[in-house]
Amino acid sequence: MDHAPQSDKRREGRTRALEGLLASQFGRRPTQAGDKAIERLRAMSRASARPAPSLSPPQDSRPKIIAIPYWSWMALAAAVALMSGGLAYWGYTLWGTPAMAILESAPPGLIISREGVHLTPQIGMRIEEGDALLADAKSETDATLRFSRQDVTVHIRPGASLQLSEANGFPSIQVLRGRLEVDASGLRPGQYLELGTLQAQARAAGGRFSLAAKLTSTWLEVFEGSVELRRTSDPDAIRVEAQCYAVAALGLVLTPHSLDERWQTPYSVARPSPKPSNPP
Amino acid sequence: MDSLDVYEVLVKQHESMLLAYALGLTHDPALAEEVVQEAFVIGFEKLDKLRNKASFAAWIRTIARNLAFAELRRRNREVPVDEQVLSGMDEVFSRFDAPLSDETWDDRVKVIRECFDHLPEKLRDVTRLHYFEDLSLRQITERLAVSLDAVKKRLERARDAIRDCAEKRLSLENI
Repeated sequence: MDHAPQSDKRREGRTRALEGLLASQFGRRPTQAGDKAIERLRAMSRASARPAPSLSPPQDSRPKIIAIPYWSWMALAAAVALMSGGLAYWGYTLWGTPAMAILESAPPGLIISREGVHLTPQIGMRIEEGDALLADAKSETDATLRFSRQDVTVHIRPGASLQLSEANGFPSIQVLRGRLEVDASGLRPGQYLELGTLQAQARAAGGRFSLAAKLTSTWLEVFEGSVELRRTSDPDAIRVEAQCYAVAALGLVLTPHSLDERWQTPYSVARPSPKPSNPP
Repeated sequence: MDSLDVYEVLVKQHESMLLAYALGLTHDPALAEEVVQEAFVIGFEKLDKLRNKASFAAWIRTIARNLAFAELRRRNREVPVDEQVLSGMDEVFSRFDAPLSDETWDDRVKVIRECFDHLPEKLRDVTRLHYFEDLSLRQITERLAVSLDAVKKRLERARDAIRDCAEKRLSLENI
């Protein structure tokens, strides 16, 4: 039990405060923490924009139906649906450009936002560049995206939030928060998948791995194949091989560790600190 | 102008203060930056729970404190949870929470700079190397060619001197 007088403890507190003020004031670059926080908040705001008013057309603008036998229409509709479904599964459409991805599973609470409009998630629906997805944290199952042209499957864990884009003709996923599990084993030579978080960027040319964007770090676990990982704060990259993981965060050495060690403290100090941490 | 634009103004006003607070808690510049960033993100998400907008500074410091403690515990590092220690920190920072109408953060904390400038040269050197250049104690012993004990003693005397000076200037000594 600590019997130090209260006045000594308060003095210790004042000393800590003054140390913080000293360290923040002199010889240091202005902090960018505020700008980064606002940037993140704007990205999250774009990904969860409110739904737009109903876009249903008024009654009188509907086209008139031509009077032909009912069964002919049913047969034609069934044929079109079969053909569209088959092509959609493989990422193509009867007209227009191929879909970037297809939604293969849609758990309750999943939100899909396109240009500020909420869409109703449906299995088989096209997911396009720029679309944002938010998986409900309370959901018990994953949402699943399939990138048909690259033969890549991405499982979106409950609570995860992401936005799709494209880089050099290949899909790029910006992970805003939460965890994704990726099966990229179908990628052909020359194809790759990029994933980004605020702290890091990962590039996979195959394999199976998971990527988690946490509060202050990004965790990459590789189960098969290898994934290149680099921090956004510096250009150096590492390759994380199968059965290894790495953590990207400010102040940490970016280095792979065995997955067997992942329950121990992985941190090592990137630069000298008065009190180095001791792993358990 | 949306709510985020308004919040951005609050962030700009308080980020230097919050960084100083996080540095006082963690003694780790990289971790302090992360804590400040996360505190502002969480602060926006919970802004509707803030009853009195005038107490934003103290409120965001509480969020930063909780984040810092969680991260320090995760890294198995010392956590300054003693209530009196935290109260001592709050005394100093609350002095800077109510600025005069056109004061900047730099105006308000210049008293700290002045206390530092009044230190004897040997104490000023060791303070500069430790707090401004982020050198460890061992690196300071090599740079100044003095023993580790001497460096520790000088740092302790420098801290005491700045604290005593700041307490007088900020009228904290009678609290």
